[in-house]
Amino acid sequence: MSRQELRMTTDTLLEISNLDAGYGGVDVLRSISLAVYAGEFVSVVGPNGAGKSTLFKTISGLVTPSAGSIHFKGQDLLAIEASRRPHLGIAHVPEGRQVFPSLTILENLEMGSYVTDRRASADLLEKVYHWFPKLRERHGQLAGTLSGGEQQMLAIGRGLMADPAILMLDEPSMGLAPAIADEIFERLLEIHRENSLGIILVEQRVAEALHFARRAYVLEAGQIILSGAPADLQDDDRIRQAYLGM
Amino acid sequence: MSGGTRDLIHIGLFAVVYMVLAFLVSNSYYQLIMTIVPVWAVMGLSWNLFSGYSGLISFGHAAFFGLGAYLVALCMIVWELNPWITIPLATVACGAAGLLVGLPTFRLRGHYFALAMLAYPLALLYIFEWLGYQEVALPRKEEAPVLYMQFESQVPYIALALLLLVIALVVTSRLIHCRFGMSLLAIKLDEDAAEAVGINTLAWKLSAIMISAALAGAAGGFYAVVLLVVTPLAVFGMLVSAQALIFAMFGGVGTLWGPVLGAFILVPLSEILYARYAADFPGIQGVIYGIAIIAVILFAPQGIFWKLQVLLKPGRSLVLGATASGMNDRADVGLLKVDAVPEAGVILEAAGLSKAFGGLQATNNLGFQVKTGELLGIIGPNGAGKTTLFNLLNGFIRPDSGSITFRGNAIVGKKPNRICAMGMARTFQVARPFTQLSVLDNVIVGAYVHSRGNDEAALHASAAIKLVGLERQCDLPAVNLTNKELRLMELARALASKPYLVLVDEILAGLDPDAMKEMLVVLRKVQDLGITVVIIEHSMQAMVQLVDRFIVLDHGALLTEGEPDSIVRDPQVIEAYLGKKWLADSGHEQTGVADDN
Amino acid sequence: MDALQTLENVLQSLVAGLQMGAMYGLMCVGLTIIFGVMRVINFAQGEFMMLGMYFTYFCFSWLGAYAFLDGVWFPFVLALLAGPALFLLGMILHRLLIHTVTGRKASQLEAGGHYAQLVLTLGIALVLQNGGLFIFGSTPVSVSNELSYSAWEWGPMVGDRVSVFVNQAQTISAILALAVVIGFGLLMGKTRLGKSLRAASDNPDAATYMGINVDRAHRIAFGLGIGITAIGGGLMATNASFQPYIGTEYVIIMYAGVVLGGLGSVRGAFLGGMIIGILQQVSAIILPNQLQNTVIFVCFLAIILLRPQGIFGQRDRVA
Repeated sequence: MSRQELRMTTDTLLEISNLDAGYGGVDVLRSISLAVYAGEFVSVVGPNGAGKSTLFKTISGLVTPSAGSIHFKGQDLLAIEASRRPHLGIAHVPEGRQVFPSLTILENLEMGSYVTDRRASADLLEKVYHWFPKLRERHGQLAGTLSGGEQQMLAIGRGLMADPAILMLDEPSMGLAPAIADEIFERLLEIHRENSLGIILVEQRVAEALHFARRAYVLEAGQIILSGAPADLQDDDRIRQAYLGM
Repeated sequence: MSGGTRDLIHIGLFAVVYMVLAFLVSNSYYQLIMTIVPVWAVMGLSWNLFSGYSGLISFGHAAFFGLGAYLVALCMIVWELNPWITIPLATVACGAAGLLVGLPTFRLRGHYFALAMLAYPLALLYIFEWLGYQEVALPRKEEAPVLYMQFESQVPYIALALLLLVIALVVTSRLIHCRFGMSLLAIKLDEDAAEAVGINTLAWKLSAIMISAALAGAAGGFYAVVLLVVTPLAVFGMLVSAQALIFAMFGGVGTLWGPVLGAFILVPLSEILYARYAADFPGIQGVIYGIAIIAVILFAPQGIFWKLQVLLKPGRSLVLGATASGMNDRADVGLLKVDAVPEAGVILEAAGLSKAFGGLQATNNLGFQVKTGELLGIIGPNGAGKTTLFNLLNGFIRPDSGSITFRGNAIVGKKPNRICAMGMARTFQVARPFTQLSVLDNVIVGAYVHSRGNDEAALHASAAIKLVGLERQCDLPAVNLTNKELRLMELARALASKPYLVLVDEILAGLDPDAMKEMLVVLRKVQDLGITVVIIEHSMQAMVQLVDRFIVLDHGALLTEGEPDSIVRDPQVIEAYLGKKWLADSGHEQTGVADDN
Repeated sequence: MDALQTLENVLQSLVAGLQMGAMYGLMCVGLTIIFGVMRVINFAQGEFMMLGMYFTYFCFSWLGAYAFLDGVWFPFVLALLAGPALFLLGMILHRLLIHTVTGRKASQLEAGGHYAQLVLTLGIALVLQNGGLFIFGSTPVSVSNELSYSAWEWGPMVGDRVSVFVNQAQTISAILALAVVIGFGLLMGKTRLGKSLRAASDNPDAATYMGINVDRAHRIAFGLGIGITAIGGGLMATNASFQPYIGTEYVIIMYAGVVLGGLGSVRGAFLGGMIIGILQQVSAIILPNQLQNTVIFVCFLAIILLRPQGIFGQRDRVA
């Protein structure tokens, strides 16, 4: 099944069950269960230290869980080595952008399509330039010299170059001025709608995350305390309590 | 019985046994080996004392060895000075050389340091070759053989070699059991954390290299007397530096007997193999040493000594060093009490603080005051610059502009260990324990800055441990602690320096509710002693019950400050955490705030 | 002293410096790849250069008897072949030994694994050096043919008084060295493999997110670094005689060049090697033999103490 076809199904693409994971023997995530269906926009929100980045790192393979399972397209992801997982169709836009500073914008994007074949890459590049015209303008510039917002666009573009079925974004608004963050969210939404691209968005800023998502999970102290449709969650005072303590 | 006394007994026994052996062995070749082995053991100890303890890898100890050898040889030839004078002279001279080498080179770390150290002996090698000293032979002094250390029998040589080794062992033993050893280990395990608890890392590193160089110089000087011939390659060559390193590593880094063990195994092995097979297999010595290093790094990176310990006592983690004193049960928590300061009011003040990293403005014209004795919370969303602020206050980073005043003194530009000595302590966001020290030793290291001796340090440390409630765990290696215990230990280590103010960086992160409650109780106790506490946290729930006052940061600047009640309802704060649209979408209006009470 | 004589000496040294410098530069590039991509300081680099020399020598001895291979170009081709041969050796060594002390696992070791890396490569250096002594013997050998003894004459100039002799073998070696460096630069800059190596060096975590196997990238980088330095060794084999301990002499030269240019910068490494080569040859005019290398040490120490990041220094992500 091609990636395009994959996105059109109503199957469960990503399924996580009872996941425990952490660092140095200390579990940061406890008994996490969540699911993402094809083409869905799912948000995971929660205060800092809740374990949101750890979740993505575990899915990508940089962290090995102590218990639980992760299935992608029915395959046991934990049996697959970290650098093989992007080949399956999950792309990770990491916290803090993490562009390759000594490579140019174009080279960064080329690295994004490391897992796609050459012919598809050219088309994907055009699409990414279409979404983010600034990247086309500056394609020869070293990524390390870009501003925060431009780096975020590059990081997202890089993720898109892998033609993924699911794009995971870790706090894309961090460190960005609100106006720029808004612009990026809008763009993300457009991409999601046009391509039926599955998105998992991890954010600290609850409002934005709930605004765009079809479903959301609330993570606190390593556990999921709430989940459901944004409309229901917004009126739930437990979110405010999780962040502000009262 | 303290570690030091135990060591002396072991050393004494060892010396006696060795001397008896010396008299029993009659084969002159074996006697020569018995002379050479202690010399290399001293080299191993010398390397261990510096690199094994500080963690700075020196590939250049041959420089000191060679200098010692040439000094003794040339003094005998040119000025007819005898080795009884010149060997001690060489020791002192090489100590000075160590200082000269250390001063510029310690500004480097890691790879650059290792490379620089590699260059010194090689440079000396070429210089001495150029000076014409390709082969310096010590003259025979038949008129006064004893005066010139030229004996007929090999036994006096063995005795002298043994004497040198015993001196080196005693010096090492004394040093590692006092604060020298502990401080160096702390520097090795985490140099930044050591700075933060008041250890003057530069001073200790310089002392270590001086003593180490002195020992190496003595070994080199004696080596010249034994072999009667000095060539640049033999004393400055890479093999010399490599051997110093190998014996220490093979036997066990950071121990007293490890280097001795390494030398006593490897030197006879390679010498015998060399004698037997050198004709057929030239270079066999080097191959043996090379394989030994590779094997050790792969299978027992800490050395045989430690590997044996691990095998014999399974389940126990490595614990390095051990202070001379133990936990002092009579220590009273009140020892840490801070007397009411006459100029009570503001203990810490920051004004106009700014710091940028590349394009990112991490701290933006920040100014605030900390009142004496209060418990102040600093909060803000992720990326707001909270830890950067602590690094600025604590001296790890220098601000681009602005000033910081602590207890009336300007502290911008001072090193972290100075600031700690002035009374500001801190814990780290990612716990930085000295992993291979016990809990007690970890805390004792923190106590050194304001204690005169080992015992006083142990006293203060014990008080701090009691305060946080870690008495039962005091002998455990830090690496075996749970998350909560680690945080408590970090706090105790900070408190042992008897601070007026302690900066606490996210000490509650990742704790379950019970552990969190325990931690809050401890923090309250700290405040009760009169110590001012400034705490960064994300978990608002806990903070709200704990703090007297909040400061809220966003994008590196001060957003607002005030008491918990008002902060939590402040629309600016809610917006910073939850986002602007939260207020709009969810219909949380701010008009009826008072009604929520 | 006769001014023209001095001029001739200076010009001669400059020419020699450029020639030697190009070969030093090539070896420095090999060293800097390993550090740039893997953050590993390889103490055994000089020994791999030595292996490159002996590879060239042995192939020349065994195969040189065949008539159709008896051209002046043969040693140079062999020197180039030393590259792929040692590339394979480097990959094998990495798989077996080096990978245990690099990569993410190694960051658990003391001092982030640097200590173990330094010591492990020291062990390898000792084994290669002394094993070489046993296998190859201590008699110096060289690979020379007519070109090593022929020179072009540049001049006479300034009215018949100044003449500079340009050794032919050395010139060819220098040109080949330059060609290899340019080729390597193209590899790193234009190919997917090269870009993935640079990406893995910039940010190993992000590279893993892209689907790049960082461990494999390190293995290839190590092999490349060894191979390139081996070519440098092979080219030098045509100029001078060598024995198994020659590696130690060149270790400091290579590190001086790399540090001068900036650890991790390929351009810098080549430039650094050139500067060191020129310095060495020019200092021969005023200094006696043994002190030439001391000049290099002094430079090396000066750079490390005064400007450790060198000319094109990269941000030091390690310290």
